[in-house]
Amino acid sequence: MGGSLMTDSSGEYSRGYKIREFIKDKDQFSLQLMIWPGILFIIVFTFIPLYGIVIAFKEYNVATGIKGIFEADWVGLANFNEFVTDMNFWNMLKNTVGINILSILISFPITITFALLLNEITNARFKKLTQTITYMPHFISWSIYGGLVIAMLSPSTGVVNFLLQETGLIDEPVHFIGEPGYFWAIIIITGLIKDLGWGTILYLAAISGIDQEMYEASYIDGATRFQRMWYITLPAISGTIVIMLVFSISNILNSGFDQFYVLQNPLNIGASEVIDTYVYKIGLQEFRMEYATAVGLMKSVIALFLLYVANFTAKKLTDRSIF
Amino acid sequence: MVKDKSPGNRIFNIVNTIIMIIVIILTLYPFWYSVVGSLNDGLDFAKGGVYVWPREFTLDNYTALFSDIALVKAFGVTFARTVVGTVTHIIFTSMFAYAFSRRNLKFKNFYGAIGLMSMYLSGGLIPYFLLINALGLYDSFWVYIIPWLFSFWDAIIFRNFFSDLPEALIESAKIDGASEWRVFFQIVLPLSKPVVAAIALFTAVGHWNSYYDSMLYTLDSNLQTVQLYIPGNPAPGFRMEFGIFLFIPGKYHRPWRQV
Repeated sequence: MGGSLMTDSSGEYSRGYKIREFIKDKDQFSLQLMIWPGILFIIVFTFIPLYGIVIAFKEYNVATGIKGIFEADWVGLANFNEFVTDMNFWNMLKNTVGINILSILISFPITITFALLLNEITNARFKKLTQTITYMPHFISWSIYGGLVIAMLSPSTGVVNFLLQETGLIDEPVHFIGEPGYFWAIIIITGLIKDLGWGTILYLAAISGIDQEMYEASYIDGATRFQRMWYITLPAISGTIVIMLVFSISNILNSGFDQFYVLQNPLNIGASEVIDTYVYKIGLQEFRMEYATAVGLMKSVIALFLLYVANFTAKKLTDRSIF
Repeated sequence: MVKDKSPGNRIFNIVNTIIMIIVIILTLYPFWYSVVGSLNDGLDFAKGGVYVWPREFTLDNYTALFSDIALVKAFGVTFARTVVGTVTHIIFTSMFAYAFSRRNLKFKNFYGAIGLMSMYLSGGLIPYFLLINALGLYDSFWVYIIPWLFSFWDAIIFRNFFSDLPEALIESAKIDGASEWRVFFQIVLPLSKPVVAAIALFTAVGHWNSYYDSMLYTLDSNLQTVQLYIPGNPAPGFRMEFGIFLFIPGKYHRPWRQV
């Protein structure tokens, strides 16, 4: 049960354990040597950048480099103020929150339904095949997949326009990617097709933990397939559903940067500009780093707040929560 | 599972299979479309109507693709970062995870707390960019490797696997006088092939697909990855994935590309 021979259990490291013994303990020394590269990594790549947050409250000039972070003048909340009074602010907020809420309302239930249906496939090989195929697109970057989406939506050569015209749903080809009105739908539908299979993994893991005897008992009692799904499978994965929902709600100000960046163009920008793409443009293309950091910080604080509220609500309503 | 032969059940199975087939077609079609396009003549493709099968079959697109030196170079960079990045990530992260899985590790809670914090805290894009710059990683190949070395999340997955290995194995090795290093590299790691394979797959895919870091942290065109080269290139129709070239033609031979 215990660890190494020299120290059989953690209990042996009492207060009597001195630095001298620590150095003598070769195993302990080796273990510390294994741990510290990772700890140093975290310190350098996570903790050090945290200091950079102060530029959100300063008037920072990129040309002054790192030293400038500490020497720049404090401007209080001016950067935050600039963001909320930005003429693009309300539109960006509408796009970001709107797409995320629609995604929670549409993609979320569809993914859960798909997981339930996957679980109901009786042929094991067909189930495996479906899973493998639907996982595939997740591994392809949006820069590739987005290109395919744009090609398929093209008004002249795209297959979507072809199909819609053939079935008589539209008379003239539609320039889907150039019309702001279609952008939200494009984001949600393509995101759904790309990540539908991948999104089911956690639910399927939860489903695999269900006791098979419950199904057999329900069968003897005469329950139908739908009743089994509704009264056994769904309640069993409700914990996972609540957790995913809480995470989605706290992420309401985040968008998948890649997907938006690839599908965005000057024609649809009114519907496609979200906070993440805007921060990127302002921060790294116009070098307004203090502004971009302020927006990033604001997003994190709101996300944390939402996480807390969603978690609290989930705890009160369903007795399940993340923390 | 229970065998149920009622008619309602059979209808359910049929409907379910049909739904699954529709989902499979929706998932696979974009890839099929790009394969078909890649095997079709470019000018002909631009007229539209090539959806299911190539109309004018040709391999010219692939010839043109392989003769693009910049692409081959970008490919080399992506391949190198994927291999080096995955191997180093596995060693670096699993080593941490092994030490973290040992009961006799001192300050374990402290390390755990630091790791947890690293999962939730972030200084944001800009300070991170400045850090990369300050470390001299900007416009260097190592920007693809070093920031990818460690992930606490992967370390937890490794740790869970390591703790399930029989303790007696490690004990007996220790009795025979093996050091922690030897136990890790010669006993624990070889026994952990499934988890190593899983993490390696995720890391490799992440490396292969990553274009954000190439876009942000490199200027040198010799350091461009394939994923950045493809959309950034004047031939936007041209796509590649999983080591297979998939090429949508008609845009590649634009006159301004030669300029």
